[in-house]
Order: sequence, then structure tokens, then C-alpha cells
Amino acid sequence: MIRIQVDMGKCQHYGQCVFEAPETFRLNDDDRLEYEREANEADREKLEAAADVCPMQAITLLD
Amino acid sequence: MPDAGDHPSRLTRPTSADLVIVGAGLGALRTAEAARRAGFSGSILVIGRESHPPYNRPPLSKTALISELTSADLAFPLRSAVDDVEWMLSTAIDRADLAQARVTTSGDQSIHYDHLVIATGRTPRRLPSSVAPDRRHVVYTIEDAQRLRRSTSAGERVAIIGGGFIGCEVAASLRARGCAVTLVCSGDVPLERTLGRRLAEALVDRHRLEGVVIESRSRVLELVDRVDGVAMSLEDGRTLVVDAVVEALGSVPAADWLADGDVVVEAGVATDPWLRARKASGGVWSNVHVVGDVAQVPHPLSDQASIVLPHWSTPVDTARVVGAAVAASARGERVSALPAFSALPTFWTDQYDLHMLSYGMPATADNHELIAGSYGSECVVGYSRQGRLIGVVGVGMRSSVMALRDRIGQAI
Repeated sequence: MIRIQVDMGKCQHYGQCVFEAPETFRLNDDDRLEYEREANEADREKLEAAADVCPMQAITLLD
Repeated sequence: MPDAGDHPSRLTRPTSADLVIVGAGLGALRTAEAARRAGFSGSILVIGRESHPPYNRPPLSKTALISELTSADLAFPLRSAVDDVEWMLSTAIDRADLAQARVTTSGDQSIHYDHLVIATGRTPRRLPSSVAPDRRHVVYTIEDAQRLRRSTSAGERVAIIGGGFIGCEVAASLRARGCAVTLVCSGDVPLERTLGRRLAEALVDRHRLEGVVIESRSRVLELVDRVDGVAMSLEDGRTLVVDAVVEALGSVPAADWLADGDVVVEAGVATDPWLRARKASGGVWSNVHVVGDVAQVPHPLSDQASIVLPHWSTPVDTARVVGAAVAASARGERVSALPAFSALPTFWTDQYDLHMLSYGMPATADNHELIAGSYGSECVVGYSRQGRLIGVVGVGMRSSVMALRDRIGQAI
């Protein structure tokens, strides 16, 4: 299991993560980021890609 | 694996590596990760001029000018996949001999490679001037941002020379700190070349509203140190005196060290669609790749015209192609069988409470139109060239921008 943390103080809701891991990240109707707190190990590559493309570097993956 | 606090000096002096990456920023890190992900098992050596492991630069023109930040605050996490990468920091590469497959440090140490990745980024363009460094700034490294923040304070007069994104972001940040900001740009409206007239005007109106003085259609001819400040001579004969200047005049490729090599350096180091460096004598170097904004690469959205993409996303996107190419090449596979570089460019900017997001290449448009919202508030603008949608820019309205992203490249 991978735990996902987003620093909402840094996040500017650019949504780049949504394209890399849509199962985990989405923008809601108010264009604010929402995300799942946990994901399966099988999704690691997608989640790392999502963390990588975040311009604010707000996403942390915890094992 | 270095921490940001580690002393950069090393005891080892490597003389070769299977993959040598010159430049130790985001592009180097992503290239090393992508090569490992693609199965490359050779040794990786990253050589960088700065003393820090890779750190995130976009905050340098924004939050780092408002409160004190260090490279450690901005450091990228280094994953276990790159644990065995060797980092040779505080080391400048002076020259390269691509025919002999070696690079040489300014300390005259030669390092041989099987594969070379050029990831040196760009160098800020400067005005010729002898003004003291604490009064004359660029914003490129963390030290630059720290020096600018420490040497300016509320009420001081700061002139920003250059009306691009960096200049506009620095203007907004210094206004937030109460500096008296003048933005000098050579065009009619800052950002017009990238965003088109209407959206650029809406943005510059916001800057004026925030108290920034805009000197458009102005060129600075000379900077002179005086007792009362820095005197800027403008082309129209006027002289502006300020406490400090920030030069935000764009950049040139950091490619001096390749001067003796058989490469093509124009706006960037020219590559083929797989980011392999082109030879001036024809063909490409099969073992020399280029990542990030030092690369000048053909792209489907520019109709394969060779362009530099000066965005944060570029090192990330180019590294994916280059990491895979290096791994394939090391296995003796054909690189041209792999997908070529085609990632959709994206950039964003934060000025005041405006958050702008762009996809595609709006700067190459021949037409643009308002799709939603209104100029001067939240809006979405579509950019086209020869009847094809080639860019979307939104101020706010994130979901609308993202929904249009997938239509970029299509006929409108």
C-alpha cells in the first residue's frame, strides 16, 4: 500500500497529476484538487509520474 | 545519495562512467530515473556546476523572493532507483571532445563516457555593465533569489528589465514586498508575443492596478553606478535612477563547453526527434542526447520545426525520451524504433492571485479567440495556426482548460 500526501498549502490545483494518475487525483466542480489517500503498489509508476510532474512539488508518496 | 546539506566536495575522482550527464538540475535527475526505469544498468555520473543537488526553480521568482528559502527547501526527493547515481557537484565542464567521447572539467580532469546527456540548461542574458552585483540581479539560481530578496526592501526602487514571464513574476513578488517596481520592456505590452494582445493587456492592467509602472517600447542602453543609485539610460533619452535592477532578458543555451564539438548550436543544441545531438557535419551523434531547455528539438505541434521549449515541463518530458533511448542504445537496439519526442508543452504562471495555465504553443499562433469568461477576469483563450488549435491558455477556469487540452493539434 502506498500512502499519498498532498501539501495543500503548496498545491495550486494545476491538475497535472490528474493526467498521470486519474484514478487517484481529480479536480472537483470548483476546480480544487481531490485525491485518494491510499493506492496499490501496482500504481507506483503512475503515482511517481504524478508526483514528478507537479509544478509545485506538493505530492509526497509514503511507503 | 547526497542530501541538500551535504558538502559537495567528493573524495572520489571518477575517470569514466557508462552514462555521463552534464548539468545537475531537474533534467539530469529525471534522465537518470528514466534510464533506470527503462532497464539501463550501467554506471551514471552527474556533473553539475552548482553546489546543490537538483532543486525546483519556479519558486525562485515567486515565494523565494517573499520569504527566505534554501535549496534544501526546494530539493527534489531522490528515489531509491537513483541511489547508485554518482553526483559530482560544484564542478564545471570546460570542454567536450565528442569524437573521443570525453568531457573535461575546469580542473582539467578528463572523464570518458559511453553515453553523454547534455543537460546544462540556459544562461541568463546580461546587459554589459559594471554595476555592483548587490544592485544588479538575475533570477536563475537559489543564490540569485536569496541575494535579490536580501538586498531589496519595502519602499526601494527596483527596475525589472524584460517583459517576459520571469520579469512579470518578479514584479508581482517585489510589489508584494512593497518595493516601488518599474517594468521596462521593449515591446508594446509585456507577454504579448506569447499570449496575444488582449490577454497580455489584461495582465498588464492588473500589474498597473497593483502599482507597477510599465515602461513599454523602451530599451535600456546602459547601466551606471551612481551615489544615488543605478542610472538606466533609456533609448528615448531619459534616465531612470533606481536602487536595484533585475535583468530578465531571456537566456542563451549553456553550450559554450561544446564550442569545439561537432554540434549545431542555434537557439539551443539542435537535435533529431529522439533528442540526439545533430552533427554540424551531418547526421547525429548516436551516443549524445540533449534534455531540457538547452535542447532545440523538432515537435509535431510546430510542424517539426526545431524549437526550444523554455518551460518547467521540458526537462521532465525530454528526459522520458532520452532515458529510454540511452537504455535501448546500450542494449544495441534501434533508438528510432522508439516513440519520438511529442509531449504537449505546458507552462503556468502565478502573479498576484492570478493563476494562469497553458497547454501547447500559443506563441506560435497566427490567431486567437476568447473561448470562455472575459479578459480581465477568469477566461480561456484558444490559439490557432493555419486553422489548427495549437494552444489553450486559461486564467483560472482550470477544468475548461484541461477539457480543451485533448483537442490541441486538431482542426478548429
